[in-house]
Amino acid sequence: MHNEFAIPIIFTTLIILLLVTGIIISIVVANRIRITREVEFEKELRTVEQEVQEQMLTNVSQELHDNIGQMLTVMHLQLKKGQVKHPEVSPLLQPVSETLNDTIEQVKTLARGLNSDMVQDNGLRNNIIQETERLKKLDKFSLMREDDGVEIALSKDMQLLVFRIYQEMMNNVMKHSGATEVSIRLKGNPFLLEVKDNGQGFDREAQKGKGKGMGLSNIEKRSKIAGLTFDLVSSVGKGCIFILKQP
Amino acid sequence: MVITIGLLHCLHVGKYYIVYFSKCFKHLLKYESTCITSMNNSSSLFVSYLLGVTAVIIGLFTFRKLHLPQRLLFFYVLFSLLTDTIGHVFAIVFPKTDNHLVFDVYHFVELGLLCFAAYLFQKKLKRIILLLVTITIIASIYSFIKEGTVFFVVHGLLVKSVSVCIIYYIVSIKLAQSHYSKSIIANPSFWMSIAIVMFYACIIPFFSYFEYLTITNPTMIDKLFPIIDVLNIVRYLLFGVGFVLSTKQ
Repeated sequence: MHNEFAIPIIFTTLIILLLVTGIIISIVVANRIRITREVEFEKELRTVEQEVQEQMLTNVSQELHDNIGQMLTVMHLQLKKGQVKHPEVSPLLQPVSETLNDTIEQVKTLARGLNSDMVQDNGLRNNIIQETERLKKLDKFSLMREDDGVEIALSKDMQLLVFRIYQEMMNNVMKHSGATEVSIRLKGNPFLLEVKDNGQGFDREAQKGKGKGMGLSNIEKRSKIAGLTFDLVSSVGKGCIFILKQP
Repeated sequence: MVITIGLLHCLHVGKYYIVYFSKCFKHLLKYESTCITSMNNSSSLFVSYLLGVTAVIIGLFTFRKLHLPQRLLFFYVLFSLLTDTIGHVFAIVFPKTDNHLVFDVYHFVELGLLCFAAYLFQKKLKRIILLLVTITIIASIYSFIKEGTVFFVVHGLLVKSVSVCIIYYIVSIKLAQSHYSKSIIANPSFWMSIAIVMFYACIIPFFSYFEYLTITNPTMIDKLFPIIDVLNIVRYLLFGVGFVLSTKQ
């Protein structure tokens, strides 16, 4: 007799509970789908942004190589011609000629580093070696490189992204760290790139608060596109370690 | 207005709601030592109290990290727990005194807290919240005129439940739509909203049958009241999760 009332109440409550649970689950699922779509869209957007940047860098590289490089070469030839014509001032012009020669080499290396096609053809390891050698010549800090020599387990596109990240890391070290020693560690499989300096370091949260760190956000963006994990270990006065690795 | 009056007629609830809380509390005292797992009346009430207190403690610890609407919901949980406790204590210490006034006050404070929190969550819902609050207040006044001061709150409860469910259902959807980058599961406000939707949606059947049962079979109310305790358990549990998640927001 009692169940006459109990069953409808319990049954209705259960139905409503199930209904509400179903609605909540559908809200959560819809939210997940939306987030996945947003993430995909953002990734696509970043990829396009990356492609535009690469195109721009390639244009700059071509401009450097074909225009400025050529002009510097012509200038060097004219200087050599002057040295031949006027041997009495040749010793005076010799250091200028050498500097100009170095500049031409630097511009060529820089142009190669900026040209995405060349970077992709060259491979990440060679690019890092060349870039490191270029930076060594600037004589801003001592550079140490550690490499396990194992083939890098990344696709060509990813290697290009990693190289751009490496350039951004080194750019940060040069511009902000004030370091005297920089060490680079490269592992092929699983991939790992570590750049460590003994510079002044910084408080990342404070930097974020000041709205700085464009370079770092670029590194983070590129790491996400490449599907790599980026870590930054730093504190004031204790240098900085950039770690880029396969998750 | 027509809908409200119609709803009240349909869901005209009985007159033993307030007294019922005291009965439950007496059960709790009587079976204090009963094993919780048996889940009889007293144990489910005990668990719901325990979880309510736990949710309030977690809320207190995380209070600084809570946003303003979440803080209002914390006060709502605290107020619910206090009202139940005060109501029960009144029933035990002054058994001949009606403790309905406590629940009358609670009815309006609860409505105010929930609706203001919903407004703070989604300010665009201002109109719909105002509309539903007006309907609830009209229903309560209608009930007050018809039944007097003692039981108008009971009648208003059903209308309030429907209103609150609609408001927080919309709030949950809006939260899910506006919560970028992270999953909605990580949003404490969402957990709090679903706690409210679940509780108020599921108490409707019980209170819809209330009048009929008090007339025909009052003992059945005793046996069915653990439904409310279980719903309280779910509500406090979800609020507890919400407060814990607020530390990460």
